[in-house]
Amino acid sequence: MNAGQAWKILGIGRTSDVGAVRRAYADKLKASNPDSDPAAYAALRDARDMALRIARQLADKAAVPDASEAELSEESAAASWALAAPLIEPASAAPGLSTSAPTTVGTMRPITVGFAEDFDPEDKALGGDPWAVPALAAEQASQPDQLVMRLAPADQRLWNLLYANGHEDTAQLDDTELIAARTALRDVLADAAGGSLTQHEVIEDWLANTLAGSWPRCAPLLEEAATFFGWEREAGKLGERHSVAFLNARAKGLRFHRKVLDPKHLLHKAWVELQRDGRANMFDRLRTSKHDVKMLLDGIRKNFPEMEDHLDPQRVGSWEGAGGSAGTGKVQGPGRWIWALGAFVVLRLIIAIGDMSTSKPSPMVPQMTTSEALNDPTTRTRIEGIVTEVFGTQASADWLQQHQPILMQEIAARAANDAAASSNPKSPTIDAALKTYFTGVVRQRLYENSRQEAGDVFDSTMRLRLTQLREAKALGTEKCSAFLKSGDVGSAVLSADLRQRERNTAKTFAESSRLTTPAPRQVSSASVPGALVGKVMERTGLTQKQVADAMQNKGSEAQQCSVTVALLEATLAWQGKERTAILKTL
Amino acid sequence: MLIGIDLGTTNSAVAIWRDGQSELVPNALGELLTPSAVSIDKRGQTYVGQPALDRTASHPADTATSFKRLMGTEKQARLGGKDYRAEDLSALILMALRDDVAALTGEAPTEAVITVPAYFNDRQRKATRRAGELAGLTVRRLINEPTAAALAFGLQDRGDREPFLVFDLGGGTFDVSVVEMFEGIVEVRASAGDNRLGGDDFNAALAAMMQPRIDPDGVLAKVAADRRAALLTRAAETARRALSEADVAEFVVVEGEQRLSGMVTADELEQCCDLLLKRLRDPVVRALRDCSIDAQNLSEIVLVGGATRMPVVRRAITRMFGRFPDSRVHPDHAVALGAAVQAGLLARDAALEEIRITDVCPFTLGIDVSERDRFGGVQHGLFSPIIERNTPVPVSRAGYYHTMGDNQRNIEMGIYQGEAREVTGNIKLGTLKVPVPAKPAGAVSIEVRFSYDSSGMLEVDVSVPDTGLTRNLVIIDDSDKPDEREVAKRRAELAKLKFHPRDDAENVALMARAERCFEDFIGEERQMIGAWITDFRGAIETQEPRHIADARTMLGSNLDAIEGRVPL
Repeated sequence: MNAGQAWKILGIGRTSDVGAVRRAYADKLKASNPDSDPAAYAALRDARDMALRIARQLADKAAVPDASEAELSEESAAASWALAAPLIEPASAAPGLSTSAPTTVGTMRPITVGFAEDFDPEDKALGGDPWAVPALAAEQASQPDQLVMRLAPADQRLWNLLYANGHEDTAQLDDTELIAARTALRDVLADAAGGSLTQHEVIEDWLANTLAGSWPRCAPLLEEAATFFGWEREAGKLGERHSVAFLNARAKGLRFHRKVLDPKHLLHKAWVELQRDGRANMFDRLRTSKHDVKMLLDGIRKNFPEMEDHLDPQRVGSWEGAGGSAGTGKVQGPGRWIWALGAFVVLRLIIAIGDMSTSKPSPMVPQMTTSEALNDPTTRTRIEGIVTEVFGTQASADWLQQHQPILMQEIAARAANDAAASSNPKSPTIDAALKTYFTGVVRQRLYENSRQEAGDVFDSTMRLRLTQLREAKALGTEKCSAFLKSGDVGSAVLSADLRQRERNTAKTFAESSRLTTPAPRQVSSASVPGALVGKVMERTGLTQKQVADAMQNKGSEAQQCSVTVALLEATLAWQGKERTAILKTL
Repeated sequence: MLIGIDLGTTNSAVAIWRDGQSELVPNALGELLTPSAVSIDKRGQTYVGQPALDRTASHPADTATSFKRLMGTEKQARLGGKDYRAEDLSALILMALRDDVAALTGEAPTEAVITVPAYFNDRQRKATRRAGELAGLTVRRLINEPTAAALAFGLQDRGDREPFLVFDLGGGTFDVSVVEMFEGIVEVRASAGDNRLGGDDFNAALAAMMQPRIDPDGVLAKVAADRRAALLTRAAETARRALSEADVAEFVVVEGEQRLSGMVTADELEQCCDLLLKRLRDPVVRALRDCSIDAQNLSEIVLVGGATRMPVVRRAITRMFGRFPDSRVHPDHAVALGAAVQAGLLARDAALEEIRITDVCPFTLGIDVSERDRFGGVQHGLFSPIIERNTPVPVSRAGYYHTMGDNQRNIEMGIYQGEAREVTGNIKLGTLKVPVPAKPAGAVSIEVRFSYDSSGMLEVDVSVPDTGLTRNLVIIDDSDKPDEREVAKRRAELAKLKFHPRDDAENVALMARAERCFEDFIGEERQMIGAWITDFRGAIETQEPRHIADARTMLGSNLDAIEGRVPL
């Protein structure tokens, strides 16, 4: 349905008056009988929803010139917050963020402030509700600031412990850290228990993302958090959130691990056997059932792949060599057999989000608000420079503040802090570094967030990515790999044409608020049909084995790079069932 | 005549639309609420409502309560040596309510709007519909309870309202609906719920906590299970109600000559119900997410259902939303009043000409499919949604599917309702099988169309474009049609039951109450009540109306006095 049709169905002209749209809808509904014509009713609903959206946009546009600048920025931040609250916003403190501290506070603050404003104790208390318990609300209403102060440090403490060494930290928490993390977690949970629904939501989503991002370091904390929020009730449901699904799978793995350590467990012997170092000898083979080993390996590979880390690879290999079919199978099978089946090659790709060497969170970052940063002329110039570099000359700091206040806050914080930390605050190298950094951040978010979209948006970003990769590849394997991992091409300059395309896309994305922090990625996988594998082989001149290896992140970086480019090229030109799934791994 | 009925887990009520407003109809005892309890003794003598409730502990083998929880299941309740399905017992309640309306208006109602929890599944809705038919009522529409409450709330002033949330925690079910009102349109934006959560669960939690405390010697362990359950449930219900008004309450069970009791505080109740209170959150979050409305932007929180009177529940709600809920609608009356409004709408009453109501389908509907996974294997039993939950109804949507095997001759699909990704976690509503032409895998595709109407009836159409073949399955009729004879049989069965004449209702109820009190007290008081009962029986035997009326007043005030003295 287009806008014209919507207005026509409602029988009114284009208007910014929400009330008029509702009146028109009500009149049409009263004149019709939905039960006898569900299709007309559905069309009427759609028309109403579209007209309301347009009317609100028109009203917003009309309102902009009236409001003073300061008010506007605050309002739009609050508005986008309120809309996005249960879904997107909490992710702003998720892994991958460069400056954790200010964002955490920024996320939490609006709830309490909003709460205090919405809440009018007198009004409601005078309603004479005999069941009401005034003590609780009065306490919350009178101390909003303390609530924020109490809340933020626990989050931050937990974050700092879990991400002590950046995002790729797989080390376990040591005893002291574990105690501190448990305490911090309990404080966070207490905040959730005592807070309103919105606050509870925000904390839940934030925690799910934080834990998912810091796995396996967070493993000892998982159970307590999962029980508190009842995450397992969500398991297997249609709307299961990504991070919760990830954690539920890990929790199942933890439980399996605990059970398999019990000597009475059916697969205990197989588990112990596979944990031993070195190859299995004759004696080992007699002691353990081959069937159990196969069952264990199949089971954990299907259900909890991360558990294989507990096993000794050489030992597993020696069993699989003997057992044959217990192996990962299809990809390693004889080539001709794959072709006959239509060649399903499993493609795996793990992308480290925003894991750039420069982006380690610094726990010492002094907190500075966006408006403070913008009021300082030196910092403002720097920020404007970054914004124009990333979004093109038509963009400005105020524009970005209006559309993506959180990103703006990150930029402001970095601009202010990097200068403060440097001996020569006005040095142009800081400017250059920041520009490259945020170009990378935005590029990565474009890429990450476009995969939440369907159809044209996703397609055009993937086409953009193809051009980016081609240019990166032309600059050398190293650049290509760096680009694949983080979207960062260092100081290497892409062509002006491409940069302009990137800027335009970034601008469109920013204006539709699509540059929020991406949710943590899980491993994506897809089957690549034989036809595409053939095309990739043709384009790269590699053998099938090399292509299959490269698709699973094995083989040389140069091969991985050319295979990715060729596969992206081939998939974009192809229309098949798995198209989107494959693109999402690229 | 068309009436509106709230068929609740604990209490039921009936209302009619008259003179431009809805009006509750009192029962034979003059009460607006009729407890959803039925008691049938071996002779077929039947008690419905308050007298049946009073008989729960004294005649546990003859009495059933909370049978709404069994709706849509195969489980049967055994009363007076015979098995009854939940819909049979519900039909008895509906008959009593129908007679109440007939007594008030002098006209026997033939049609009804009956309310069901929004999260009632298709099977439970069908069972409710059948209960109506057994009671001789044509069920014109099933309307969701929170929707009915929203109608009653919204029609108080008919003004526009920004989205508000109806929080409906009844005796056995929990529903949440987000509703908006503008220009006379009452629009349900989203509903979610838990049809296994209600006041009964709080009673069970309290009883489980208190039983070891009041009965360290295991006296109750020697009591028959159904009687023990009835005693504990009633003690919990009484204590829970008392805790709505005081911080401490006594939990008392009287068994034979022994009086077991212990004190319970409001804090203890809150602790033992912690898990239940947490479960209140999920449906609220789901409903708000589904219509993307932030909790802060809700204009009001409207409480419906008896269990929302509990201070612990109110505290949990206040905490969740950061504000006090609205108490302007009567939590026990709103649903029946709203059902009567819907009845008025269906009867096209002039006073309601400007009102329209639109609802949603609160659960996902779809079919089971198989998919090839990334390892080349085939996964069976995956759920493929066709109508997503919280889609406005009526709605008609289609999904397209294709064959998986070469030369496949049939496509067979199960029709499911639920939110799990694998159909084993969902509820099966029916199956359909269509023949397809033999072709290579994937070459034949079919269209599966789901149509869901305002009453919650699902119709499935499958068409095979290659052959022009179509198949139709009306889910509601599928299990109803073969039942026609069965319905007639059960109706005859129910007709055999004996009911007290309406004029005797007060005497019957008072006698049941006196007998309950006899069991509730021990020692001297018990003997005293016993003497009163003998007197009352004697008065009834005289068959002298004035005599009986005097004795009734006397016994009633005596019982009031004795029950008022001891907290129970």
